[in-house]
Amino acid sequence: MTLFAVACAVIYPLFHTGRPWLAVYWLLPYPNTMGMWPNFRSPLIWDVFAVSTYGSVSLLFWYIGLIPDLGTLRDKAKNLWQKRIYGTLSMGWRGSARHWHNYEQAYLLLAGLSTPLVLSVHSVVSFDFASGQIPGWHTTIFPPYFVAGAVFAGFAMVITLALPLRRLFGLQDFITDKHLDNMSKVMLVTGLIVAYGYLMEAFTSWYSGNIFETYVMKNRLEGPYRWLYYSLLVCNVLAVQPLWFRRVRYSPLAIWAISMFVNVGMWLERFVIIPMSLHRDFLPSSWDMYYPTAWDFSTFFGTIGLFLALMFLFIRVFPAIAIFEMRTLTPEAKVKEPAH
Amino acid sequence: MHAETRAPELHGLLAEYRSAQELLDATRRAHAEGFRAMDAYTPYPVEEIAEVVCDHHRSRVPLVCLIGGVVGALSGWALVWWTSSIAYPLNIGGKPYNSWPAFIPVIFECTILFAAFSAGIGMLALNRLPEPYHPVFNVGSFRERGSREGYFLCIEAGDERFDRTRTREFLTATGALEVHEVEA
Amino acid sequence: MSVADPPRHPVVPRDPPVLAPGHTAASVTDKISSVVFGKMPVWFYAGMAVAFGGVMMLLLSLTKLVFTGIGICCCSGRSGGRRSTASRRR
Repeated sequence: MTLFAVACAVIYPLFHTGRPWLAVYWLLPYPNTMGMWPNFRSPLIWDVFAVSTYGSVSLLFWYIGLIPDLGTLRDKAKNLWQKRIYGTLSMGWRGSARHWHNYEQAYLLLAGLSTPLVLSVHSVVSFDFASGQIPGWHTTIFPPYFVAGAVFAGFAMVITLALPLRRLFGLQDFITDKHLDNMSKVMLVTGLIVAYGYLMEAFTSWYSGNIFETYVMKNRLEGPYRWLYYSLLVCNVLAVQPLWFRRVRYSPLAIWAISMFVNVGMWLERFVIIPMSLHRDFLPSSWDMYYPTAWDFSTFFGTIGLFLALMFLFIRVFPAIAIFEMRTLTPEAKVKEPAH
Repeated sequence: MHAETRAPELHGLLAEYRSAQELLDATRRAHAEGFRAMDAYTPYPVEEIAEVVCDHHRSRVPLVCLIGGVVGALSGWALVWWTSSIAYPLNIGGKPYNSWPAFIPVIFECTILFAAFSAGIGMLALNRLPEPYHPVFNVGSFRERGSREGYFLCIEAGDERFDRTRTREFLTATGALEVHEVEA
Repeated sequence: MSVADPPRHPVVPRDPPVLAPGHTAASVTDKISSVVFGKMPVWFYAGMAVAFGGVMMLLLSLTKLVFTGIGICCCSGRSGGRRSTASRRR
């Protein structure tokens, strides 16, 4: 999910440069004939490093995690070409205890490295906005706000994808009520952090005494896009509140519906941050309205199509759940110390 | 490859067990008996078995990861410092050329990138993977059951204490369901 | 719900298991790999067709936007080229 989302997302910065073929040496530090190097103090370059590190480390983590399961698929495949392809990808994995010894360490390290990586990547992405001067952007709440928002949207997307798969492929034994409960709790907690972010933005707008900051909030509450802002509050703040109740947390349909609200809500949040802060900034004479064109809709739904197509391919070709990790949870996996 | 001691094409003896507990007990007994050139095969990681087989040595992957991280941090710092101070200095907002606080995000990302790749690729290298051929795949029972539900212990012919008949008797005595000969 | 879901208990369990009881390493393997090796249901092909349509739409939009944005002729929009500037320069 992460990898496919990054693949979809990376299309946009590339095309937004306007001249993508030049974006290579504007963004990537490589020795070129002009002797030019990027400006490493710029959040745009930090973003390039952060997102490419995130993409490559996620790819590595994903592939390393798949190796034992690719070995399983190689052994289960009946078709010769399937056997060859899975065999090549699994690198000859045979389940050797010596290999598991190193493997477990590497897997743990990758997981441990990925956590601060997620925190840093979303903070760096937030710097793209926070380092600008536009009122509504230039605020220190952004790094924690974006990280919490990312985890929030991420869990909502996992729920949106996992619950239908669970139902359609009969995976209730592996994605149990416990997982639903835990996912709902994380969604609730991060939703509350995001709600705190909204509260702080509102408070700072008033407390700063800065007319431009104050106007941002007024525009959100009374301006032409106010219905989008109210929808945002309903979707991100109100819609997750039922998750306080255990009955709701154990109902797959309820959780899925809430996750769809959150998906819409997070899209609205990005709309509130970007077009709503940009369309009315410092100088009233440059105020205008943003209306999407047919191309905006087509690239948006096309990107969703790309993401879904990749997900469909993935579930058909690779195991959707880590088989070897599930095996460690079976009763036969418990070993005990010998009585000396 | 190990030097063959008895029959010319024997890699070792592969014993099959019913559960992880039986395999663990057998591995411990084999270790106590003095066998060192051996390996256990499980469909999922069992820490206790891995510790016995690796003779309680710690994995070297964390060290490789640390070295990778340090190299990454130094490389990242070298990249930003050299380009910003020497190769292509830019006056951005009057900041000094060696504006290290502004360089932190890039250096941090380089550290994580190098550390992660060192851990991943280091693990593969330490495991000597990719290894498309291994003698143990010659055993039909291993091919069918190995990755799904099989618990195997292989004592290699290269071990000093290996003896075709006596080792086979020893393995049977530990409770093996079956003992296979592994062609090299 | 439907037949596919396990029966709902009237009282919500306090601490449900992480893996449903009664599984072995073999059954876990078979169940999860059945998604990869089993027969694909019809809805999968329908979903894949829709998603693929989306990909084509994205490709088309991006191609059109890049070509008109750059001003490459033969793709409508404000096409540049010799003729348009030459005829304006009078």
